[in-house]
Amino acid sequence: MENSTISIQDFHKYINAFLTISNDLLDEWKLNTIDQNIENNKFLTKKQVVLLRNPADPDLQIIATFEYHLVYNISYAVPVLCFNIWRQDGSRITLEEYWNYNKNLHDYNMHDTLTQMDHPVLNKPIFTLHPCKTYEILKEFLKTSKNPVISWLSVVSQFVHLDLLEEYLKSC
Amino acid sequence: MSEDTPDVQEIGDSLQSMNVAQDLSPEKQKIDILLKPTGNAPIMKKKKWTVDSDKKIGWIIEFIRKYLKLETNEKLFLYINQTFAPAPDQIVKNLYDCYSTEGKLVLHYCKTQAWG
Repeated sequence: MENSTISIQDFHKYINAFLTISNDLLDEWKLNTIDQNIENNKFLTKKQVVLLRNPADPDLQIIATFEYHLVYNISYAVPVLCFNIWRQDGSRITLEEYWNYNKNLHDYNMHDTLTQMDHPVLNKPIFTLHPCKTYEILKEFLKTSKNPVISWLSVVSQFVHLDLLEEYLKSC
Repeated sequence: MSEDTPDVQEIGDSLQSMNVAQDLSPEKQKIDILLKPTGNAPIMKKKKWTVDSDKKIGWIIEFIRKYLKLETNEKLFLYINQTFAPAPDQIVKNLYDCYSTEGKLVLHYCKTQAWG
């Protein structure tokens, strides 16, 4: 059945379109390519600095550096959004710490939503938004959107302090 | 409504002269929205609503959640043109100005668990 999912070729096409917009806007997304012999060898990354405020206590703040990865997950045949976070001194922010600083996800159970998993391409540990229901979000966009990866990202990115500029949304 | 006291009146006047007063029109601008279900989202009996133009998308999402009596683990998303989700702090008027059709802002709503 056509358009029932996103193939890895589709994913590469969509992230290339995404990258073109980013380059025009100087939005600092970078394309990473590893070993050409591996099929799943491309992903996008972006670093950004975010001021995290603790919703329970506004005086508690962390200046955090996020590194977002937009990667394809072969098992689920969907894109996944992963990220790692550091403090200004380079030390890692733990999952539990970040969870306390994220008010958008407080309705959810942490281990059902965000956990440290293997990066689908690099095989290194990275915080990952669970892909098991991604298809439920994605399938609504497959027929209507010119770039379902951006459409899906517009839904999930706002939960993890990643804002998309309007130019991306206009392209889908 | 009771009559404004002189003090309040004066503050109102000074606000106006500073150009920080709200809209000049006495009533708030209203915007027509049309809510359409997508995916497995339940149908709403009333589809056409009128909302204040300064309301945020997050407010509409909360409203629909209550109207449909959703469980806390069910997430509701609103889509524009069935292609993207506006940020919850986006104001309805901005979206109306950019994406309205035939005098209405069409919002598709979708119910999903989103995560595992």
